[in-house]
Amino acid sequence: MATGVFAERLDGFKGPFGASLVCQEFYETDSSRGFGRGYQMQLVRSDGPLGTSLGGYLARVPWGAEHHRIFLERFAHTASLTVTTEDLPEQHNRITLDPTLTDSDGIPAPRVSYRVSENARKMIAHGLASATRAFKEAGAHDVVHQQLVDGAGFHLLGTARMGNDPATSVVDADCRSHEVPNLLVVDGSVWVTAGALNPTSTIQAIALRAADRLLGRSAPAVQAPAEVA
Amino acid sequence: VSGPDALLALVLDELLPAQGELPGAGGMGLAVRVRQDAATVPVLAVALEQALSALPTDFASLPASERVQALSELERDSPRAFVGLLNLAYNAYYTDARVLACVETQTGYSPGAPQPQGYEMAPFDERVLERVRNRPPSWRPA
Repeated sequence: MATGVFAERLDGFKGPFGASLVCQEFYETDSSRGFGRGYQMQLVRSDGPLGTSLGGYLARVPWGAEHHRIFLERFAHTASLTVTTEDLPEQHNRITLDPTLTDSDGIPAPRVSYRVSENARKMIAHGLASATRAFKEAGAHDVVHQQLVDGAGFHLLGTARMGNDPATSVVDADCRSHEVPNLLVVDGSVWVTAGALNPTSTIQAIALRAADRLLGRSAPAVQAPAEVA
Repeated sequence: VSGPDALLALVLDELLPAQGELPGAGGMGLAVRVRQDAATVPVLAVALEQALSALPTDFASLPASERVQALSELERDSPRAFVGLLNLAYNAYYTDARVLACVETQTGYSPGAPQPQGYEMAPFDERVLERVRNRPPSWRPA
C-alpha cells in the first residue's frame, strides 16, 4: 500500500472506498521486471474523520497541541494505491491440522503455514515504486509505504488446488475430489494461484462451471463483453 | 469536571485540546463516553485503568507542560495501555456531533452516507481514457 499526501484538496471522503480506478498495466508477466506474473493497483480513497485520526494508511495523527493542525493537513488530502500481487503457489504454504490445539469439542484447529515468496517481494517492491511514481507525477509531496498491510490477507485461496494429478492437486477440472467420490469443492480453494485481484467474480464463474458439469451440460460459449462506453 | 472522571477529563483535554469554539475533549464531557465505550470491551477497560493508574498522583495539580511530559512518558513506558486510551479518546471525539460539525465547517465534509444524494463528478478531459479504451481484451476464451 502506498499513500500519497497532497497539498491540494482531494476530498477523498466522497464516493466509493475502492475500485474507483484500477490499473492492470503490470498484471501480465514481463521477464524484464525480474519476477513472474504481476500485480494490480487499485485506488483507495481517504478515510473520514475518525479513520484519519486513527491513522488509516498513514501513522496515527499525534495527540496534543499539534493534533488539530496535522489532522487538517491530512484530512481530505490523501489517496492510496493498493498493490495486490499474484501469489504463486509454493509447496510449503499449506493449511494443516494443529497437532495439539483444539476447540472446545476437541476438533483440531487449523494451522496456517505461510511465507511471502521472493517473487512476491520483488512484485511488491516494483508495485510500490510504480505507485510512488504515479503519486509523485500527480503532485504528492509525500508518499508513505506499507510493505504488508496488517490484516489484509483475507482472501483464502488455493488450499484444495485443481489439477489432473492426484499427487499434486485435490480436485479435478470439474471441482470433483480425486479421492472422495461425489465430493465437490466449489470455492476459492480450488484456485491454482491467488491471482492478483479480488476473487469473488472468478469464484462465481468456477461455481457456475462446476454446476454445469454437475448437471452434465456444457457451459455456454463465451460471449465477448459489450464495449464499455 | 469533578468526581471519578475528573482525572480522565484532564487527560482528554491534553490529548485533544480546544480548537476554535470547541473546548478540549475533556471539557466537552467525553470522559463519560470513554468510560462507557471501555466498559463494552474488556481489553480497553483494562488499558484505560492501567493508563490512568500509571499517571502521577498529582497529575491534576501539575502545570500543563508537565502533564504533557507525564503523558509522553506513559506513551513511552506503557504503549499498549496508552494506545488503548488514545483509541477510546479518538473514537469518542470523532463520532461526537459537535466535532463532526466543526470538521464540516472547516473542510466541507458532511457526515453520513454519500448516497442517495451522491456527489457529482467534475467534468474532465476524457481523452485521458483513450489508452485504456484502446487496449485489447485482457481475457482469453476458455
